[in-house]
Amino acid sequence: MKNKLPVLRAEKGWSQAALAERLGVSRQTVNAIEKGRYDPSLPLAFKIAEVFGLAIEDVFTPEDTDEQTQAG
Amino acid sequence: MNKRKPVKQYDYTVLVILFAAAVFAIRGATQAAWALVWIWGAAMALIALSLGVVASLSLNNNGASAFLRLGAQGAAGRLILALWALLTALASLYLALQGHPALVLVAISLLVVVLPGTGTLIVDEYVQGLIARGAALAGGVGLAAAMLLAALRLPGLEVALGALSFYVGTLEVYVWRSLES
Repeated sequence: MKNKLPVLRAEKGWSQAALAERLGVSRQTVNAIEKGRYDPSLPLAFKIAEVFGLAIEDVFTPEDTDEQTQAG
Repeated sequence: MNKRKPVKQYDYTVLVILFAAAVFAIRGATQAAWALVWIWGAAMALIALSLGVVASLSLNNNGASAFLRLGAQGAAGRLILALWALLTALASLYLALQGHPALVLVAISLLVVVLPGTGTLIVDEYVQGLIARGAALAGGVGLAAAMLLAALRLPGLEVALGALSFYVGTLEVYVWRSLES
């Protein structure tokens, strides 16, 4: 799953550690999510969207949807 | 999300050290060394058993080491845990020289875990997944190590401690490297 965390975080001026603290997770978790090595659970994904004040689909994009959009 | 409040348990570590000191005073160095190694083995076996349910890992990146957290808090707690690990490593090396060579594995696993320091990490869903996968890998490695050590006709205690050493070391390295990447 793709995500816009690095961009959204940069807009807020937050470090990974700062975002992690807001989410109540480790910095390594935020890093793993941003690099695509880990897909967060639904509760965490909703919390991430809430922190940025966005809808969850504005933060996360399924890989296949992204590929279909490009093919179309 | 899952920010666990650290449990201050390093006082138990102090009790272990004091107990070993008492054994040393009463029964001598060899018995004290066995006491430390037995306690290490029991603690690691308990952690292995409860991993994924209760246990937490303290991990420290960027130059520091990982350590199985027993609730280290602050400099005093980390110092006590490091002291315990050092004493146990020395005890295992001492016993290795006393005719129990497999116990050098205990010292190696402690060095892998403790050097150069200790730290804490929030064990959230991602880290829990790492721990679960690491524990599965470590379990296999530990069992294979047990078979190899048994094939060397080593005493049962040394086989068990050696297998635990491989388990702990594998788990430590796996989780640490995953967090480093």
